Amino acid sequence: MTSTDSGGARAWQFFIVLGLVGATAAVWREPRFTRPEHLVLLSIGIVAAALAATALHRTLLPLVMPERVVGDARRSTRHLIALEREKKLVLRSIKELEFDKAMGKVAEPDFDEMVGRLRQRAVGLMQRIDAGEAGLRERIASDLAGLKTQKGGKKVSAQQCGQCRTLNDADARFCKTCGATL
Amino acid sequence: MPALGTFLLLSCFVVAAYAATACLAGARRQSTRLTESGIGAFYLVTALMSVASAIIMYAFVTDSYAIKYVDRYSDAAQPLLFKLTAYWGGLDGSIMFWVLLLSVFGAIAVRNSRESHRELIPYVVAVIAIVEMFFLFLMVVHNNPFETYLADIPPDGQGLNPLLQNVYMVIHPPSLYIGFVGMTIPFAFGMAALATGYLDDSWLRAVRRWTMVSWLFLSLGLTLGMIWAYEELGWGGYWGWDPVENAGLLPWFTATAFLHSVMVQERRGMLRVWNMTLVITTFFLTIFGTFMTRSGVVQSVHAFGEDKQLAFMFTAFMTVLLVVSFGLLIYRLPLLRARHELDSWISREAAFLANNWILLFSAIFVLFATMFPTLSEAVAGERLTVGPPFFNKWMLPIGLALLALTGIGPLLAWRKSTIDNLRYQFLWPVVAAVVTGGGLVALGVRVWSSGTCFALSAFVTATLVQEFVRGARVRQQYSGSDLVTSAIGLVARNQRRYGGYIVHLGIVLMALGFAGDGFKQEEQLLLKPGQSVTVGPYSVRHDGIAITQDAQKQMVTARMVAFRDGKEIGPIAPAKWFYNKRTEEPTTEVAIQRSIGYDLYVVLAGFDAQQQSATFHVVVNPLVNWIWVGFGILAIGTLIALLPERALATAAVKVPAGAATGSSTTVLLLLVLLGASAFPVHVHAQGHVEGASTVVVPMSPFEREMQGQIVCMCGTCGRQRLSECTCGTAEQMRVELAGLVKQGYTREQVLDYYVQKYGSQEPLAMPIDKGFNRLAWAVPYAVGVAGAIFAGAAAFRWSRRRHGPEAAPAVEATQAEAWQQKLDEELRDLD
Repeated sequence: MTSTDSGGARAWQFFIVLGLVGATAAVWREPRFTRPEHLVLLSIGIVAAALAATALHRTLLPLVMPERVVGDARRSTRHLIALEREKKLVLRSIKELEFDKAMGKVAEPDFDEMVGRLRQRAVGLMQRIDAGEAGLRERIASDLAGLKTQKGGKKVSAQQCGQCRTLNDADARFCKTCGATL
Repeated sequence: MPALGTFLLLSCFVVAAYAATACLAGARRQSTRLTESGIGAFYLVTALMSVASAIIMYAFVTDSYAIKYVDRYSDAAQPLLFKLTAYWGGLDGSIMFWVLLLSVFGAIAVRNSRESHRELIPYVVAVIAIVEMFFLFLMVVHNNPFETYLADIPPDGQGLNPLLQNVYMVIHPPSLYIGFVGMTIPFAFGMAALATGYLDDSWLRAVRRWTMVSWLFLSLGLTLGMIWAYEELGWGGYWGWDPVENAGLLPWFTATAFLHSVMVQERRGMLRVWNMTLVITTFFLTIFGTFMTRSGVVQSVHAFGEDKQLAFMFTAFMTVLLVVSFGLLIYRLPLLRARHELDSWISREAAFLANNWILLFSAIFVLFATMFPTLSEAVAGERLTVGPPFFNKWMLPIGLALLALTGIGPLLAWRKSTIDNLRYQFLWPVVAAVVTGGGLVALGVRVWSSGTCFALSAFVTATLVQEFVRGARVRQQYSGSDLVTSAIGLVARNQRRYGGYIVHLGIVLMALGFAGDGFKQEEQLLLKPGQSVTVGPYSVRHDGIAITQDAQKQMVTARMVAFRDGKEIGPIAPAKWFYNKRTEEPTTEVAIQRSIGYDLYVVLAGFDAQQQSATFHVVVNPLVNWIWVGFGILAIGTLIALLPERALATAAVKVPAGAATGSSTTVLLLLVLLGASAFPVHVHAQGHVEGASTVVVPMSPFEREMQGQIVCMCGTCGRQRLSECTCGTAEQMRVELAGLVKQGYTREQVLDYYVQKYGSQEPLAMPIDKGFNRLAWAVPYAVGVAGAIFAGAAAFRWSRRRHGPEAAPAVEATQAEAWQQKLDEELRDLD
């Protein structure tokens, strides 16, 4: 939940209470209202007005808040998410095919040929995702290093293991994955 | 108060404009401040519309007749429920209600998808806000529900149309509107995906549920409309192919097509452009349907009347809508290219392709036939009627083809089915169909359409039962549990697939109800007290007329007693109600005796209070109640399919062994078969009058046929056929027709007589196939053939493409083994 949202939540509570108080006052002040449906609709109208005040607050508040920078981390992960979705789709197709085979809808040779093709595609996607994740980790590490440099004034960089290519902290002496000396 | 209402509508327009602008600017500039503010403004529209709605309803309950809209649709004697629902009873209020629903739906959709589709949301908000702006603009400049009288405020209102003072009409319009409005959400996400270029399948996941919810409400709205027509209009039927009915049906066809083809995109990555096209088309048809019913371009018994200015504004909006949406689609075509592979023509993908072609053809045909009278008048200057006979001629085989596909689709595998598979899959369903068909022939059923429908229903039902049983057995092998637990687990793990099958079962039951219409029997005749008439297995005796009144209306009620197979089943009381404010528009209160097999349906068509005699329209409707039952099953299936994945996983618990395995479906089907077995062998058995004197000579089959070919020309009943209309004009026309038949006129001579008399083909239920009207007959063929060629060509092109396996980076054998193991692990996790 963003700060805006938390502010909105507080505002929401405040305005709703205000609306309920307003509705109560209106009902209490108006003796000519004798039918329940009049009172109910009047109350609904006032509470809706309170919600409108909440929404107005929710509209104006972001304009006075500082701008939040949208980094490209989300954008770079989006491609991975799309690959992940495509992989899931292929996996589901494999399961669907297995279920169809068990139901007697697909012949054995067709199944082998189709499932082989799907498995190939799934493996290809998994490898691409793996490579993408490694690249992403490198980018995040270098971004972090850049941030640390800006803050602390001294240059910090991650180091990659020569054996398994895992990224390790700059001051690490052994690889956290394979234990090789760095 | 009216001033406040008008101010709120204006504010809504301004705020919606700000929401659209801020969101678009925020998205372009990557500014979270602007985007968040725009989203806040979007919520503000919802809140302001809620206040405005509360105000208009408050005006109704407090009888504020200074507001014109309240005066037109309410009066002091109107019950509270109908005062509240009068909010959407007229044109201005219905537009306002539309905006309220759209703003509520939009707010919920944005709230739910704000995090998961962050890139799309600004554009989604902008699109929905722009649609809201259009409707708000209509209200602000043309149809303001808060418009007031400047002077001469009426002391009492004119009252809501009595036909709308019905409980079904309370829920029918909101259901239909929710269905219409809900289709805006998929459209907005689609447009957002096109605008941003994020055209992977994520937007589909965001909209699938919205489409299903909208489709369910659209189905509910259409069904409630059928029930309302059946119980309130008193013509003995439930669907008259009226333009307003058709307006709701058009997006239903395309939404159904989308719900099927979206599965092909999800599983195979195919049909991306097609799905986007369907989303745009569905939304366009909701707007077009609204335009049809509100602009007066088509004549209908329950359209809102003619309004040229409104028609112009809608036309402009629809033009912009089509240009922008299809322009974006064309612009993004390179990103929408997909791996199209059709492994086999005998596959589920191919079945979906056929299903989509038929559904789209249905939509185009219904649209064309609905608009043809307008087109004919504009081009040839001749008014004519395109009535139920014309629609049924086409939609009957189309419906049967769709029913067949409902059974064929689930039997086919994705990608490819071999001859052996087909034999194994189709054996029992085909046996069921053949046995049913043979049984019906043996029973003497000679209505080919209904017989085919019953045989296909048996085929589809057998398919569904087979799918459930075999699926449960497969699951049983994996899980080791008993069959019932496996069946529950099967539905719990595959809600979409098996929920969809339950929906198909609902469609089958509805089809049975429609097929029953082929065995309908009816008589229209005058009865004096003590006389009775027999129609099918029922007899009704007329005992006299009672006239009573309350604050709103005067009620003329016929006292009758109904018998079935000679046994008394109780009193029935068909009536006519004359509302004080609208005595010229009496409502027909039908007396219905319901049962599983038949409905006895009696209408008081006319009366003579002094003589105590009355004219009755007595109808026996076989299987009609299965339509409503079928919708119930359809709704249950849709709700199951709507549940989030794994939501039913907890249901897959161990059920005690030996628990009852008989399903309610089996019971229902048995009941249907019982009802079906009770069909009369002679379908058109003549009703006969018993008692002191015979009043009417029973009609010849030819006269009965001609009554279905000529429409009533009173101008107020919505051009019902003479066999259905109960108004005075129709009675005179029937007498006239009986005279022509007596004189020995042939079919052509009768039709020519009416064309000469009225100076156009307007009194004919079907245009004559000559001159410009030949187009009405030629276009459906042309569209059907063109669609088939297009779908066939696409399928042929895809079937020729063969992609090699995914080019995977070269890896060593040991690594390949490791990847395969990892894949197996992922597949196990998927369970």
